Amino acid sequence: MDLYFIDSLASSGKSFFHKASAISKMFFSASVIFAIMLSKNPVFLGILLLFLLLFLKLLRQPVFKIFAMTFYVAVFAIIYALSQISGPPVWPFMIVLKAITAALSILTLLTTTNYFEVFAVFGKFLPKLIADGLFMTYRSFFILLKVLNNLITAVKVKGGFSPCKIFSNLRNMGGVLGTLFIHAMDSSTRNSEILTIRGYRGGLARYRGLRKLSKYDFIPFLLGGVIFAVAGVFK
Amino acid sequence: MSHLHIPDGIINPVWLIIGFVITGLLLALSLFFLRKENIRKLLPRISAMSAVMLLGMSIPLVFIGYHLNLSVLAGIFLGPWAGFITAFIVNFILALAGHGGVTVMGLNSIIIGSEAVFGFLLFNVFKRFLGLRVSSFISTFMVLILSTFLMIGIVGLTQINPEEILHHEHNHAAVTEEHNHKVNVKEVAEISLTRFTKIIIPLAAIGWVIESLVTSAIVVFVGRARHDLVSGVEK
Repeated sequence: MDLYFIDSLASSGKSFFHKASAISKMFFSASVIFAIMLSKNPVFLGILLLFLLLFLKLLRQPVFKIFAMTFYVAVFAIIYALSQISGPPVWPFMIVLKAITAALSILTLLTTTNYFEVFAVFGKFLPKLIADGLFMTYRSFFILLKVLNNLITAVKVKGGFSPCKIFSNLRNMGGVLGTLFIHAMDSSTRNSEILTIRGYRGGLARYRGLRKLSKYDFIPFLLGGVIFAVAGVFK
Repeated sequence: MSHLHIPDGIINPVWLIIGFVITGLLLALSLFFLRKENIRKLLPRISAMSAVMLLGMSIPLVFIGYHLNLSVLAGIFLGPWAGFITAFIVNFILALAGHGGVTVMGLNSIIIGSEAVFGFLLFNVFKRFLGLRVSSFISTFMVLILSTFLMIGIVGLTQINPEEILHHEHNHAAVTEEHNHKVNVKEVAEISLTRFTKIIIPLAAIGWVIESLVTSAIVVFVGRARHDLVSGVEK
């Protein structure tokens, strides 16, 4: 989980893709995923993966670090691929290729778009509690991340984590997460009071205005359309 | 380890739609049961728990992508319905961070959400005659076994046919040959599920133990420090 890293890339980037609205970039990523679903051609998938990596390079993003974030998806895809090894030889390779390419298309969206803009789009059709839950979870994550880092440092300084004491480590980790949970609940109570004072009735995510479409949205729309069309031709 | 990290583009779209429909219904049911709750109090609790889950997942454990889930903990602390919504929110953010397929989000939410629901139910049964530590350990362990088999069941149910995914250029001239080919593909599929189960169970079993130990450590810690936060304990 690299939410902090993803968020910093989305906030600090200044490429033409960063300046495009969330809607056009979501169209782009959705088109890539639909192309992956549609495609039965490993060559096309390989080219698509290569294109996404080069595109990230063009956007001056840290390509290898972003690519490394597909690790979790790749691990399960490999397990899944291993279980399918008795099938056609290209099949396991296709599974891993599809997994990594799809994950990379989502990461292209999230490393160039602020999460709040993405949530604002979903806020249009998700129930208030869930849309606001996404919004506040993301906010709480960064507040609690600092607390967690301090707690882990404190436990390490006091010798709470030792490579040879697995059960002791797990118990201490439970203590760290328990403390974090209590801290999170206390701060959530404060948030609840603040929301009450401000007359909150649901709809936090909707207050974030969507960025208007501009000239920068032409490229995501065009690329998405072209990728989907090419997938249709070379499926 | 009970995440369904099946990549985008592998599962038949019909199953993906079914997954989203079931998740939508369960979310609607959760919102219905929570309709009398004060949203100003509920929202911060859900977002605090979701953030703790995400932070728990960001702590790397041992090797090959093991991480904590804490969805059973969400059920224990928030109850089944808020727990299910929490699991959905976490799953949503995970998918957006490239940590699992976007299109399998519905199916994933069923699995992770079931951990919260059954975790709450089993914990409340066991804690009637067992202590916090043992009841949380046993309920987490049992629920993780259940959710892993639920995941294997979904993999089996949505059995991927390599024939449908791969681009085949064979000419099936004779009907008998085509029939034989279909039979072979079916055999491949059956072997695959057995192999998948054989690969996943030993890996998941390590995860069951780690998650259960940490969950029970958190429940004991919070139970001692803030008895009121563990659902039902004060009643």
